[in-house]
Amino acid sequence: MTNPSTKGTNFDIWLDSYASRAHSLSVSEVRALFAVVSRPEVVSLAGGMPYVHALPKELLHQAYEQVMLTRGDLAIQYSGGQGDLKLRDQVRELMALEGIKSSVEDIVMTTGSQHGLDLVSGLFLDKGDVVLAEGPSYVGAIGIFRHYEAHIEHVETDNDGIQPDALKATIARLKAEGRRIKFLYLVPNFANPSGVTLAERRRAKIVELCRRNGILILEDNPYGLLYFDKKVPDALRTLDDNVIYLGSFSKILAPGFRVGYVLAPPAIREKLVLAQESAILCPSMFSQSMISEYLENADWQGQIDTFRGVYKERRNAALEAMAEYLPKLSTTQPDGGFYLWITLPEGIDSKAMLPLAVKELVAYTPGTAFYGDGTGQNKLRICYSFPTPENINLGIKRLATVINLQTELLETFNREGNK
Amino acid sequence: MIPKNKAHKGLTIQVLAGGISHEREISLKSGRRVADALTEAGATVIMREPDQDLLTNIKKDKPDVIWPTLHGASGEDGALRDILALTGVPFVGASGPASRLAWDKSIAKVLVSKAGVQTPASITLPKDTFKELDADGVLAAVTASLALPLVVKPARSGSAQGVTIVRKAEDLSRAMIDAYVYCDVAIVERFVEGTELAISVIDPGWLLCRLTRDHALRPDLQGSRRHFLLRSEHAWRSSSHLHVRAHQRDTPLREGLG
Repeated sequence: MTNPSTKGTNFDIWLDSYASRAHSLSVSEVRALFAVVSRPEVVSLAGGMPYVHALPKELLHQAYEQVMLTRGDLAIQYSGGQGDLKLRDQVRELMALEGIKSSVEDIVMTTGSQHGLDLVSGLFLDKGDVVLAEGPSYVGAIGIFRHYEAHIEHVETDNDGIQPDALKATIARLKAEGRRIKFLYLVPNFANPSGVTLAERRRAKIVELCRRNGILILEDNPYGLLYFDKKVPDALRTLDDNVIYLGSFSKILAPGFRVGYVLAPPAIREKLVLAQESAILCPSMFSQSMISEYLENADWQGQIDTFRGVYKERRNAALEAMAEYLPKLSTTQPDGGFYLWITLPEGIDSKAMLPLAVKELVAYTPGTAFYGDGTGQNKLRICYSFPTPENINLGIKRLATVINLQTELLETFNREGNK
Repeated sequence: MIPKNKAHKGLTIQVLAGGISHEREISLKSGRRVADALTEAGATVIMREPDQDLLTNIKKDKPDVIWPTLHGASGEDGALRDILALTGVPFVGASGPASRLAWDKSIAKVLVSKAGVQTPASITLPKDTFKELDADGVLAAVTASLALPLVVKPARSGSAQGVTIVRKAEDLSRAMIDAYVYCDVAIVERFVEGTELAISVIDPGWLLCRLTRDHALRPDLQGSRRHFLLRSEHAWRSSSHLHVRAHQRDTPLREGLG
């Protein structure tokens, strides 16, 4: 049997041997362009990198020394598949900050919450199953759902997050079509890429809608503690114990540890642990020990305050630069997190425009990356977390040049960029 | 930097890779492959970026040879090669002037046509043409003269970036826009259906180059193109005809020329 992708010339002699799901792995067309962001001349507003420079490294030195002194041999050994008990207890306290009551028994430590998302997807998704998601949605989640050959159905989302009425209508339509909806994937706080937060009054409605329709909710909350002024509403998990909650240390500490966690109902949690053990045996005990030590002895809440201050200053710089250089464009106004979501003039395709941006030494992420259905052409995401406020200003100034050049080009052809 | 150093003394070779272009990633991949192969062959390899420290690094590294594996503008347009020539350090590849002529497709087409090599009928259109003239009228004239399907390419770019095959007249303006994103000059060519062959011609000089079967089969190296290596001394001196099967996997080196 020849795979469809063998059409044409290909030197990969194993092409006919790959599992069918391997064909859903595709290289992003913009990936090659992103290689330039590592050059210092380029202002990258593209990658969603936390500003780890704001984390004093001596805090990690101290944690390391303490771990090695007190339990070095354990930290470099294999450990349990569910994760370190002490850290799980600390995670329980961390989640309590967002109103969640939980038991250490139901927490599974994972290799970043990304791995948690992959494990949950592996447990639930068969080929052709439907995953409901915000429109736009997190690019890394879309990649996982695609890998499991699921169909991603975006539900209309506005400045208050996903719309309950649209969700209701989408569920009804899909059910009428006989589709199997497995779960609703949500980033309810300062969503990636939109920056919007799901309004409190919508949360109960959404939980109720899903409960009634037997749809599992996956609540992915890496940014919730990074609010600027006002605390976010309580997690969806506080409204229903059946919600699977994904958390992460990547944004409140550092992503290099690759430590996240999943809080799941007992039956699902049991399968998660088995799936994790079969995939990786156990999450890194070294990373877990470091984080556990950090949480115990460092002022981690003070550190989160520091991060909030840094990101708020950068959000302000980004919004001010938008008002200065691109006053006609609409952008979301996030109260936390890392991202602005920008709508371009009709007809501009942000992915097609990216080479021009690279030429002007600025990078962003095109909107299409955040949709599983090819839409989002006239959107783009700006991430303000990593560049300095001065560079954010410079980057947005360059972006304005790019958008103006592209607008001029479109006007020259007077076709509104029909495609 | 690749600090690997073979026990026996060899050449010091500075590999230039990266750069700020749309093809940065492919350049870095090529550079690392070249560096690995040279290290394996006993050379001391130093990998460098063509950045503001370029000349300082050449002084510091004191390479016997510079090996540019740069793609895209400045790497392929001859500019960097002219600068390398100023340093007096020998470098691998074509000279600055030759690169400059080959890099711009609109010029290269004229030159190869003069040498008797056919290229598809085409029109070169700088972006400014459309500012002065009626865009719809120009595009209609292009379509009428060349006939669909067409290929639109940036005149100066590589790796098929910004290239669109246009089968319907109404898609032409979008294709032009997508090409101008890469370069201010676009060429519109008549589309020729067939197998693409990328032919590397290496003038060995003192260096013996061979492309092994294994190399030819590596998908990460070759993409979906067919790469064949011709040793120029044979290819040009014997002026023999080489018949290549389009789906031949092995290099024709042995059977054709060896």
